[in-house]
Amino acid sequence: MLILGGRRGFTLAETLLAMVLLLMVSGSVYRVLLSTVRLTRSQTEHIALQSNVRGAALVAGNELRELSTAAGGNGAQNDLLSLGPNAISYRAMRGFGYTCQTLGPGLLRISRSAFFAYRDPQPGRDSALLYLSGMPTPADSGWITAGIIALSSSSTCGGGEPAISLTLPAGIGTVPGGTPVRIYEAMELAAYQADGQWWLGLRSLSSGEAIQPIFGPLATTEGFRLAYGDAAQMATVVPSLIKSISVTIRGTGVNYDNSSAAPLSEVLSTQIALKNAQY
Amino acid sequence: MLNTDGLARDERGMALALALFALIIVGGMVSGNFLMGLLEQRSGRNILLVTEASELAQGELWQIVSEVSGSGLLALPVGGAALDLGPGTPRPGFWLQRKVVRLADNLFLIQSRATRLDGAGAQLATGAVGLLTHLVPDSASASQVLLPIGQRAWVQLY
Repeated sequence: MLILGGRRGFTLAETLLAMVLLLMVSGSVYRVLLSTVRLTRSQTEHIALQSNVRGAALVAGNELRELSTAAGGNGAQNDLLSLGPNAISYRAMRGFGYTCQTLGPGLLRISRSAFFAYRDPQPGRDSALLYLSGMPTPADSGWITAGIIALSSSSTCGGGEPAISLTLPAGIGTVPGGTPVRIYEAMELAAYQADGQWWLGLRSLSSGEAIQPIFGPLATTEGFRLAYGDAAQMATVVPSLIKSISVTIRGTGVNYDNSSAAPLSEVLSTQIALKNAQY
Repeated sequence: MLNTDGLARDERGMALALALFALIIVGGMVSGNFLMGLLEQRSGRNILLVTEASELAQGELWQIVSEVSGSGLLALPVGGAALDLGPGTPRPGFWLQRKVVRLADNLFLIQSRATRLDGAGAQLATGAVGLLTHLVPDSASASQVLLPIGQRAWVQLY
């Protein structure tokens, strides 16, 4: 026979006390766990928001940095097409190269090794800027614009080097070898509303495509703000006088941290000096 | 004789299991947070490296403009191969390529490419820019100096 001498069970009071203590400890642990989960989600959201805002500012900088403006210049010299406080349209540079041969009127051939772009030109979407002597006056040199009618990527230059060939309107005449060629497309960078929220979007005006979001959601007010400065850093809305563009991006996100009722917000302002602005 | 084996087994609690479970949950969340932080730090570092390389390439352009002689450029064949100007001033952790090519009688493209390297010499980030330039008579020195063309001289290279 098993004798449990000296060992007794728990009284009801002891069990109740133990349960109350266990509940208190469990409750505290649960609260710590919940706050840690909230903090983790909040930090993750914050990091993602910061990263996205920074990415959007980089895209805006890369799009706008190479633009050209010239006081009193003609249409070909000014790349800013329209301005607004939360939208801008412009000629976005997509590539650069120089011709390797002199061909017939309107025909260009650019060696692959002398073509710098992250994609090939697209006829109908992209246009070309050519730097020709005798433009705009016989004693001067300047850029002219022409739409790209056709592209062949299987041609070669004189030495058998792989090249791309562009067909432009024959009216531009014969383009000599060594002519600098820029490839561009008309783009719009703008804040727009979709699904009840604001987004920063980009679209090709040349191809007529719908605007695509590159960042969002933006804050409802002042989510994307553009300010234009002239040579003296004074505000201006005259495209040909603009030398720098200030971009402010204010992103918003869900706040998982109960410490504040306001939504998560991140603001980044950057000033883009236009590298090809003429002073 | 008292057999206590059965009793010892019955008295084992849940504390260790609960503690391990909580440790795994909290450890997972902390690790996730660290991972996000690490990715963010890497993303920021990549941007910094690209910016460093781009700024160095940009600065080198103007260095070339100031140091290249007009007579040397006029000796280049029109439409010929690019002249390698050498790496310039050595900078630790960077590899520089500087070239100039004569496009027309008085039109030159200067190219500057800076590559950020790690300790083993592997490429981390690259920045490349170009400048369209021409020679202009300088009355002060009675020679020709290299200057950017009037419009759209600065070129982003890829």
